[in-house]
Amino acid sequence: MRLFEVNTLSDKDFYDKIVDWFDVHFGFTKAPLKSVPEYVLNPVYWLGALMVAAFVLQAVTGFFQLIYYVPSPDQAYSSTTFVINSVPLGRLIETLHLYTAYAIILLAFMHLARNYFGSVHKERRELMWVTGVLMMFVVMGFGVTGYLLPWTVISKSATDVAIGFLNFLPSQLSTVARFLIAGTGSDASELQRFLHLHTVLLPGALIGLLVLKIYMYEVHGPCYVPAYGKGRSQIIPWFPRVFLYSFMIFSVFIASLLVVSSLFPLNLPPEFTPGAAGNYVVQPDWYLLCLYQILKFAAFEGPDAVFGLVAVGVFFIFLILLPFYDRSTKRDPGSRPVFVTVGAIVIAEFITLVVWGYLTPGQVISNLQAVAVTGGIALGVAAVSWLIFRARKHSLSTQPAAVPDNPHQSSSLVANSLRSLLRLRGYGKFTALFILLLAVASVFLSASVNMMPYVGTNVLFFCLALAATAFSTFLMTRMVKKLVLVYENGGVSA
Amino acid sequence: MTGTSRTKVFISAQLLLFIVVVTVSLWFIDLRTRQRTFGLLLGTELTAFSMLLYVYRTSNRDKFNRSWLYLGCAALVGLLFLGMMV
Repeated sequence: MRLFEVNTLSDKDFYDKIVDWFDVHFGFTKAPLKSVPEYVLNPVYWLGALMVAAFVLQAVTGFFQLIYYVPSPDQAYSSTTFVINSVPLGRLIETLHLYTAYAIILLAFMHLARNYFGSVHKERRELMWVTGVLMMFVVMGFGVTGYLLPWTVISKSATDVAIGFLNFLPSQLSTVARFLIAGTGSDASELQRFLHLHTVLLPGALIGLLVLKIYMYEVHGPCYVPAYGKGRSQIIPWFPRVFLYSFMIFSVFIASLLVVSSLFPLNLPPEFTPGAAGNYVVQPDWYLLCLYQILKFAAFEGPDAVFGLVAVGVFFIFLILLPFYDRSTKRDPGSRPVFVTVGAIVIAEFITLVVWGYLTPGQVISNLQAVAVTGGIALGVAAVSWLIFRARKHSLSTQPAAVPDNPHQSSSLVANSLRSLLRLRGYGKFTALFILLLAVASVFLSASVNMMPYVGTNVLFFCLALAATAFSTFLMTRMVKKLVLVYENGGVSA
Repeated sequence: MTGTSRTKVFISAQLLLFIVVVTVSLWFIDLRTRQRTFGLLLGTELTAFSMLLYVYRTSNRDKFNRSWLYLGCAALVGLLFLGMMV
């Protein structure tokens, strides 16, 4: 007998009785929530719901902090340290609030990427996409406004720099925006305004957008994404299975946050004073490091920062308007090479700029370095994407045609492509050599980038580093080509 | 009640017992000096709760994956150990 196998029962067992009791007393089955297909019992479909759970947690921990927090420049820091050092569970709750905020932002990015690659903005869900992107801006707003509240030397200095960017707006708009965001200009006014934005305006906006999005979700239902596994179309009611699944996934999520908060408790930087500010390099939180790094490029220094801000603004406009120019009905990522490649490049650039910004605080990046790194990343990702799509195209030409968007399809096209890559598991030495070459190329590329400002004095080393990078990349390209050939031959080495 | 259903009840009872024991221990923790322990034990409790839901969320027709239960048990032991160490 299998230990955990449960047979069908003709009569009601203990489990059924519990479910019935709750249903009778709470009427869950009569709740106005649409029944959903069984494939939604997958964490990929729960990123948005996890954000809602995190938002509720933020409201609870934030309310606890508001009990003690004093929003004045003189007492903001001391009241925060009082909570951390003297209030029972104060440090845990402060840390939990911080890490949950990070989790929300990370989930927002993951949710965005999941929806982008899964093309869920199609089939009458255009406004759900627009609402979701607006919610992401609200979430970022929470991060920016909450960052200032402890009044640490880093948060205050970084916020002042961010407010300074408002000067690049047209003068009338700049005045209004400064008044709305920073008040009359004094520290006290700025802190008060940020607290009100953080605790009143932004929560209200988020709740409004959330209600709108949930309403649209209930109208349209969940969107099957072919790339994320086999779809099972059996419709299941919300209670009890989806209900219990949601509690299970929320419990794991909150437990993870608690564990991370306990293992890595918050330590506040020193309090802001004009004197202390000069001793610290201004650096924003991790989710704004990408923008920070772009604005550190020499091309966007000083008054030219407006061009960097305009470029970022144009990117976000393209992001919001995606459903209105991506009109193809194809939804499987395997059928959308251009959009998938662009998405992969954006993600790679984002990660690179965040890490790069973290490693080079306060340093101005020369234009040559900026072009070499961002351009190199874009070309590299595009080349890998091209190879994968080429392999996939060949596999399609040798296999019977598949219908990508059919939930009953046993396996998606992307799954086939990924499976081809997973054959690397059988090539231990091949994989090890590839990783070694990747490491060599990365090290020499970073060395050559670092030498760029001093290339006149280190021409030989610069050329050697560049040659080593190029040679490693060439070898990797050959290996990938061989991999494609092996795949094309059905797993037999050519 | 069949044998397999009894197994389900047995596992749930063990998890419930574990949750009760951890809750009682949480009650006696000094919330000012042992905040990290509190957080880790609360995380342990939520993990046990999610395992309980995992056992019961599936209908009687379905099997549940024993690997997840083993992983959950390992997580419980690891978190308890960490909770005692910090």
